[in-house]
Amino acid sequence: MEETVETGYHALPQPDELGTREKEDAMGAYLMMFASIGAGLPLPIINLIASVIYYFVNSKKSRYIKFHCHQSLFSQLPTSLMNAGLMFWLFQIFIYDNWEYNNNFVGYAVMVGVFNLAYFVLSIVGAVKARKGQVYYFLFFGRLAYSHAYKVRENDSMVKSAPVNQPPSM
Amino acid sequence: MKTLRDLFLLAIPFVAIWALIYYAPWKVEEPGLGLSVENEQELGRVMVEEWMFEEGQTQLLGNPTVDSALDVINDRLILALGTTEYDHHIWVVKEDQINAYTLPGGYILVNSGLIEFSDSPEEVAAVIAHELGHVEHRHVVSRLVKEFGLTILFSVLSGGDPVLISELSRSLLSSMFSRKQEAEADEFSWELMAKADMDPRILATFFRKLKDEYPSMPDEFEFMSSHPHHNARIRATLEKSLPDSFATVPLNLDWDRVQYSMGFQKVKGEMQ
Repeated sequence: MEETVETGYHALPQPDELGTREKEDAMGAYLMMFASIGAGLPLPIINLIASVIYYFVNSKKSRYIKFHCHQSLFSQLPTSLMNAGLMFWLFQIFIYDNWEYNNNFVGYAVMVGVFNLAYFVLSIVGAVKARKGQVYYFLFFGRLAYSHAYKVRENDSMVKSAPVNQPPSM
Repeated sequence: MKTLRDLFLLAIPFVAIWALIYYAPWKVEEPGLGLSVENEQELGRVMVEEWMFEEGQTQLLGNPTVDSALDVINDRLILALGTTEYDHHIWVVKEDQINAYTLPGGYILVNSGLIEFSDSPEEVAAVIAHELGHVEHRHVVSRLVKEFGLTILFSVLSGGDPVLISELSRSLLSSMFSRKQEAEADEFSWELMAKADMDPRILATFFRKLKDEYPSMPDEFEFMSSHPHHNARIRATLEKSLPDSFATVPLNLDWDRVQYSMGFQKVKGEMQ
């Protein structure tokens, strides 16, 4: 892919420039969140681990996949942290407060619920768009992921260095 | 810059949801207890008479010196308490654990171990005042309603199934109050002790002594163990200020004699 010097970002690939495998890998970044649920482990930390593994395995394949892996992982981090916070709070209420909760807890629980729902819906949309070869920007996380995946950097591992293997001198 | 703006835009609706519910005019309230004080007292009577003493789960200490000392303490506290819906019964039972229990209907059991451990009658008074706080705030019955439901409690009142009574009693002796309830009882103890012309900070002193004696805080210290933050609790008790005009009136008791009578009773029991 060519660098776009004017903007400082690499050019975005268009759907027809992407192979099916690339599109499927990008879609997989979003679908990893369902993998652990499918495995019968609906724990937030398992989702996160699955996403991190997927990220390390696939993000170096192409910038398009890297963008989707980043977007999925970045959006999952706060979701998992908030879910873990909710579990911790709930555990405290169970242990120390005999299930007595207040508006503060209810407010937090509802907020986490809405955040999860939004994350769930956006992940589906992101996965479908990724399969079609399109980029879909989540609020805040989309911009962050784009910057990480497409910004022109020195020492970029995806920029091909001088070929190591050379033909013999004839 | 735009990324920061996005973060701000993302955070606003979620923080707004939290704040909206936190400051909402409707509050998550405790469910109504649905059990009158009269019913609660009857429940307490059934539990004490048909389980605790009848089945030999525990027995009264039966030491006249201790009983009369406790009467002096109770009279001071009950007088300061003023009008109350409860007819309080405070007894000393033969148990070595440093503990006190509150049962429904104003029945408070103080273990003989607690009397032995206390250096002054005011320390015992502070613990009893704390337990009175649980009674007056109806913590015991709210715990029972939450755990067993009203139907079971009413069935105990109407029929007195011994298995159910035993289950209720065991549950009360083994489960703990919430942090909020303990904080309310501490607050109550503080107010009551001050009203009764005794230094309310003595409860914190007693807790600290317990903590020093038993750093690991075993579970049997019911009124301590439900508090992971007992340091904060001690601090809260000590931080409250008393009016300048406050003066303590000591309880007119020979505490050494009370404790000596317990030791004597113990030795006598062992010899028999």
